[in-house]
Amino acid sequence: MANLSPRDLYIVIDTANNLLYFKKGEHILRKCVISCGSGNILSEPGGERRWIFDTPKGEFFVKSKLKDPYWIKPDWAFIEEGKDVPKDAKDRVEADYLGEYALGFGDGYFIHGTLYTRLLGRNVTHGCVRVGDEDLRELYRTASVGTKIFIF
Amino acid sequence: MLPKWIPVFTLLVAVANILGYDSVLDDPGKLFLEAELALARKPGLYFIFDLKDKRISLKARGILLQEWEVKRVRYWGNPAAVKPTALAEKTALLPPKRERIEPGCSDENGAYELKALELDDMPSYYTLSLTEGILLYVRPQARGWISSFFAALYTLRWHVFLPLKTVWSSIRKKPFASIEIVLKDKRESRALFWAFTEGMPCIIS
Repeated sequence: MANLSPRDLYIVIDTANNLLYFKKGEHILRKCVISCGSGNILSEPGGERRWIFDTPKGEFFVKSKLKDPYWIKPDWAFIEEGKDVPKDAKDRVEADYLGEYALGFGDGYFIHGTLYTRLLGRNVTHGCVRVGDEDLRELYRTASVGTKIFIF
Repeated sequence: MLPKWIPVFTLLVAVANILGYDSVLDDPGKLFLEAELALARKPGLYFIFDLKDKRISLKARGILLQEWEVKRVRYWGNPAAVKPTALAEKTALLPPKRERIEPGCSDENGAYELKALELDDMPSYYTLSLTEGILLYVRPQARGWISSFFAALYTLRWHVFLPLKTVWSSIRKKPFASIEIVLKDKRESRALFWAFTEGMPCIIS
């Protein structure tokens, strides 16, 4: 069984308690308060599309590491704000929203920073995992592309 | 004069209680380790209901992610064979309800009343239906008169409804097993409901 477990550092995310752990073996190296998905539902007015803002659960790995990331706003972000979805891709770009760093783990989900640090510890996001500045810096420094992420 | 059906009903319940109550699960041994190894080899999370040691573990790749202490456990019907099964459905009297976002009404800076599905919104009394026809009745330890009332309802169901269901299942030749699990408190019970999602594999031993 031990051969199946990650030998390097791995990340465990507890979405119920909004906690993230850096672990190596059985040892917790760091524990961070985070924000996970709200579980809310958004339906497109007059359309057929529907989004459920859950943080996905299961086994993932870090697919990308970004510094000073831009947020490419998806359709739901405009629909939620009651705005028209822009035709020009340039109108989707938003800087300074995701914090200093972002770690992608697939399907548009990221572990990233937040402007709303007072909401850390609550389920408020659209599925991404928001982390405080100091923890995010440490996460970016320590995690590599390929680092395992277990989310429950 | 008692109605004639009452003694018959009482006898039926008593016999079914004697036949079905508190079955003992087989010693899992090697079978259990092989079953867990099969799950640990695949990507994804899985649950181990180790009812002999009164522990529920959420694991991935053999790593323990979260653990629940079982305060009390009792069985009905045929005990589960040690092999991977999965969660088919979660049911509760008051299931959690997702909030709907009204387009144009959101305010990301948190100045609005926070609407989210959080741990406290999860039920603490619920049923987990597994794909092998096993039912897990989960509840917290009774504390206070409200939870004592619900615990009494569970006991009533355990000794009246389940015996009858066992008899009915035997007549239909459909195996039936149920396990009642009592956890430490509401928070633990809610956390299990949150973490155990439909389709997730598990092993009961």
